[in-house]
Amino acid sequence: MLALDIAATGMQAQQTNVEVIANNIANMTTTGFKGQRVEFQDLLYQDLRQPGSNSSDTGTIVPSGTQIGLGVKTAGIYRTDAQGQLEQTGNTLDNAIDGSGWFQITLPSGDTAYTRDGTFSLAPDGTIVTADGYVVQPGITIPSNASNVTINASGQVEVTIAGQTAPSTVGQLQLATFPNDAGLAAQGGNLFIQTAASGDPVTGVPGSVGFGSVMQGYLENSNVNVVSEMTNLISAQRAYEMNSQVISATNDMLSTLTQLRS
Amino acid sequence: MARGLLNRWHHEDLGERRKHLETPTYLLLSRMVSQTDAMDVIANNIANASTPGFKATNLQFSSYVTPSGSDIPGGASLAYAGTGGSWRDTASGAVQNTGSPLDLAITGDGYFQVKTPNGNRLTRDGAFGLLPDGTLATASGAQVLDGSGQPITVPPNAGTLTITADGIINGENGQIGQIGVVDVADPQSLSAAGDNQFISSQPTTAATRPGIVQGALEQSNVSPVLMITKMMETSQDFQFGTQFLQAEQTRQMSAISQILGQS
Repeated sequence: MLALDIAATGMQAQQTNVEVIANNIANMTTTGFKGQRVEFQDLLYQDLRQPGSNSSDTGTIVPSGTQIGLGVKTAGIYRTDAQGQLEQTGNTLDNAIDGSGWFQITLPSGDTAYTRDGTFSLAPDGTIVTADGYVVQPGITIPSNASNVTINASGQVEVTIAGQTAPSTVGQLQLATFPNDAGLAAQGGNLFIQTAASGDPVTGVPGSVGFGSVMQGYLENSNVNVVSEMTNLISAQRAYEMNSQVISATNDMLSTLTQLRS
Repeated sequence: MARGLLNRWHHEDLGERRKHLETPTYLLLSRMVSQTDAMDVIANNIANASTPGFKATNLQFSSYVTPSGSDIPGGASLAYAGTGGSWRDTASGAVQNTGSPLDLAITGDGYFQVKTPNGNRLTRDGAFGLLPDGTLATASGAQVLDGSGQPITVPPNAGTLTITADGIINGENGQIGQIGVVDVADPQSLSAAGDNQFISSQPTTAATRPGIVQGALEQSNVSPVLMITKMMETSQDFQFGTQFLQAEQTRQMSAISQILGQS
């Protein structure tokens, strides 16, 4: 009986579903987190009778064949790139991106990672770094005698230096966009790296066409919608139960078969 | 194996046009084989209860009628059960909001056309993404085609995409392309190919009113209540069959012992 294996694929799929939902709920307050969703596809079909095959010598055809599907598989786990809510923090070095784009971060290995989490702070030498201490590209240093750091919507970092009246620009933040954001690989720590699926990054000034703008003093909240996650969790659990019901019904059928000889 | 044996017995029976002591057993066996097929189909429907764009399949039983033999009192014919065909429930699934700009649901008739290495396929699953070169594609990497059968490429600086009900994709710099939605005259002639795709053996026509909704997906149209009920029914029928088989075995044994006892 195929039904046992088919129901098993259904249970495995729902288990993956619950795992992804659990991760989403666990990250409901993670800054810059993007919720994920499992995408399912049906497996191969076993053709007992091909649709359109001849049903007689005179060329009549069967209008619909007999196809038995072999279950379900996980086709992919998508990241939903909907904008998270912007929450005001008042912190000078907290930055959110309103629109598309990623901050570029230099990893200790020298590689570039990408993040939407703009919780930045200053390193001992005044360089703008992430919460983990990784340098935010292009490596802007705030002079020690500077006060009043302003980051405007197009990413220009301006400071007021003691004794000067006009603010001076110390650097320009740039954002990166990808042909396929969903193809970035999550590294943990709110960081993502480029893959063959994401395509090459395109960098640009925040606020220009195709790039979001930088909002100083705000953070982007997780875009996880708890209500929909909870309803998804309920339906995943029920779907899991239904598949297990199929297994027990099939088991009943098989056990009556084996009892035939008794 | 059961199916092979059944076919052999079935043909022998047809050829000789005689009814044996075991005929009721074979009749019942044909029904039980059909019930296991039905269970497999139900299991597949339930397994795909959360597969977007999935259409529930139902089995249709048909009877193979054997010509009535002269040795059947009253000249009645025997009807073996068999799976005649599967038909697809083409009802639309519920449209669920996902918020992802490249999730598209067709609320009217029609299918998205996608290009796979094995040829063009149709799908109702609009969970699309972009390939590294910006080409619109399904979760399994099949390119989504426009009305003229060409892939659609979204330029990297397109910004936020808006997709209209008739499939026109607009970026921040203007129109990028139009997603083609096609329809077939007879949806039952489509053959399921896995990966949420269908193969059409018939020519397709452009769908008149696809009613594409952006940021939503068409859910599976499997009705859990209906499927669980059918599952219970199938399981009960099968168990009834085995009980009948057992009773039939007792009948045959007593018949044999009576015949042997008389000789």
